[in-house]
Amino acid sequence: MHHSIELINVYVRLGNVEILRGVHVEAKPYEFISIVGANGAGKTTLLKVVDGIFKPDQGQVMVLGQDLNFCNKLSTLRKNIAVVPQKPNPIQFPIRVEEAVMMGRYGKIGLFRNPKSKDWEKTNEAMEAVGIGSFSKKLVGELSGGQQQKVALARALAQEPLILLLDEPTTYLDSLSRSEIMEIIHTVHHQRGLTTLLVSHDAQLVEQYSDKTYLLEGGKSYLIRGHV
Amino acid sequence: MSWTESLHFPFMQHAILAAFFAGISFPMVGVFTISLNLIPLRFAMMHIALLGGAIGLFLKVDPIFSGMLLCALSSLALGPISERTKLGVGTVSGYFMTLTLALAFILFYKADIHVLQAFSILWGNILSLTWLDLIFVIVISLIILSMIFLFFKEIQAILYDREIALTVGIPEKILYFLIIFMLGLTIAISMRVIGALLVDAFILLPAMGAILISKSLKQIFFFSSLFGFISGMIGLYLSFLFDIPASSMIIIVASFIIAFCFLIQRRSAMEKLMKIFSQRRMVILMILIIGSGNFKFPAAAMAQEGVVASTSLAGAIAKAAGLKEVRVIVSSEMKHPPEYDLKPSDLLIFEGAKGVIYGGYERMVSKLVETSKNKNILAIQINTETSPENLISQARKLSEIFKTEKEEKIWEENFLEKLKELKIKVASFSGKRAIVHRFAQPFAQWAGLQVAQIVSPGELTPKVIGEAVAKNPEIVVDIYHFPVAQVIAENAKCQYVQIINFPGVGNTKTLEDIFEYNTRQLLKIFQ
Repeated sequence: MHHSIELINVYVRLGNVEILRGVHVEAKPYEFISIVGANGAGKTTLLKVVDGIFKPDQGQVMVLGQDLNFCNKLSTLRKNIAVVPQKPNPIQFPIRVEEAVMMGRYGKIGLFRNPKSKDWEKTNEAMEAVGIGSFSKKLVGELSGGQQQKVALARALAQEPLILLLDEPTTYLDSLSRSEIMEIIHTVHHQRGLTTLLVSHDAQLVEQYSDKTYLLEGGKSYLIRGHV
Repeated sequence: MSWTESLHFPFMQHAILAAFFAGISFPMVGVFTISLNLIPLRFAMMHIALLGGAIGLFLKVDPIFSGMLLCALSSLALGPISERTKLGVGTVSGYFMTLTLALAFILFYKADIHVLQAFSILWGNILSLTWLDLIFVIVISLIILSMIFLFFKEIQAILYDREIALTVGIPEKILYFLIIFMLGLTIAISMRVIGALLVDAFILLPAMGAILISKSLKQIFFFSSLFGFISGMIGLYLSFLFDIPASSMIIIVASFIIAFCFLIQRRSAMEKLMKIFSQRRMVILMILIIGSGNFKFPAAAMAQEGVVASTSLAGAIAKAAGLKEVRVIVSSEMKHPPEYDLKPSDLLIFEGAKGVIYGGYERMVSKLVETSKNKNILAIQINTETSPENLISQARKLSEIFKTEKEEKIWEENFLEKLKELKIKVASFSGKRAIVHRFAQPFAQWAGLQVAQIVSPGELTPKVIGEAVAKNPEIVVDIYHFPVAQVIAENAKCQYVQIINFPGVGNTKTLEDIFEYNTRQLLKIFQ
């Protein structure tokens, strides 16, 4: 079986600092992979490499069978990769929950077209899946941190991706919300048959949900749980 | 003249159309500016336009065209440069702003470009729009509106979070660069067409108000557009009603709207306000405002035989030529006539006038003549250099056109008599070594000063200052309307005097007054 994600001996340098130094990570379809490590270990950089935002200085990155070093249709590929960022940027303008979730569909809808009823269906399904269906008309800015994180997750699901990338999805939450979010992620991962790559500094929390866990330390990756 | 009657004049029709199109579309670009923190881009565009204008003057092509072209090219380059350097558009704009200003000043010096002429490309005015200007405004407005209509959802995602827009598969970079390009282009065109002051009024202020009260991005776009429209229309109307410069009035209205939005945001303050302005009172107030539209314009009483002079100096030359009814547009106290902000009455005086007399450096005059309904108006360009010989020759030229040779002859005799009298007074300091501002040169030469060096208007270079100081001058003669040379006097430890070219300062009115005033200034220094 092809890997959904495969990083082979990846080096990334940002400015004068070498962030990743020979990283190997692989995720088969439907696998739940966690990458743990201290703050500043390069976890977010690794996610951005998978999403094609950062190009590796050395090494190979294969995503859904495509070598990102030679991929010139990144925006097409990205329609199949959903990202839940660590912390949303400050909100620039008021936006309703359902509108924010609908954004996940924008890439698939394409230019010059408006959302159709099918897109609204997918949006509603995504909101229901993470338990925010009841406040779809509320403004995102009025929600708590945990609820805003659910909005980000719902947006990612509305995209109907094959790969889900999560960047510290529980960092800014209290312990109760952390477990709740992890349960939701785990459930949708199975229900939707996703390949999930989650980075976190909280190894204890994420290990129980993962098929494989890598430790990122000193720019290198170590498989600490599961098998290649 | 009533408000409705004023609509027959082309300048009012153009202003209303421009205020309408700019009002509904430019604030939408303001939403980008505020949300993406691109305010420095506006200042960068001003300086880029200035450099473009200077290049145009140097290459002898239309400075407006070269200014706009450079702005368009720069705004195309800004996005990719900021992405490559990872510095952000705001920071890169700051870099562009200072660099282009420096390059512009180097060009002013090395290519001997008239600074005022280059700066005047920044000073458009909504009351003096030509058809071409209007078409520019309409085209850019339609492009903005269609861009927002076509790419609304992508713009929404980019303004919400650029990284999210990228990760959901939107061509985020291309659209972000397009936003920056449109913003740069809108600023550049609107600066030239409606003036740098109104750029802020139309782009930023309505968007600020809309952001305060809206509950979604669609509402923000809608309200910013509505507020821009209201500011433009009411601002123009009030400008006409009270004969106040239009740009300033539009800004005042837009600022009131922002204050109002702020109050709406704070409900309790709003409730108090509503109690003060009960509905009935508001109706009476509206009737009073609309009713006062039927007022008499002082300018409308202008005599049919009159002429319009662009500046007080042109006016004084016209009077010297024997013309009786002379209306001056730019107030005599104005230090830089090209940046004068027009009032509606300035435009209306053109309608009854026989001729307009101007110096050529006031770009607005040719536009005013073009937009005037009065097609019989005679536009006469004169040389406003202030040497006695030139002033006499210009007065003669005007008197021949207007058949007032007899009156001119009488003036000429009196003028020469006066100069003879003054020449005796200045004889005591003739031969003194002087550093002279270029605009003060004719007077300095008449007064018999020994002109050791002429300095140009604009920023002085260390070399120019050094050379001037080394000439060991006894006096530095600067110009009141555009002073630059005080630093030379301070370093050379010599006398410093400011003289005038435009009557008005110190109660001066005529050309004789200018020479008398300037002589008095010199006498004060040397006695």
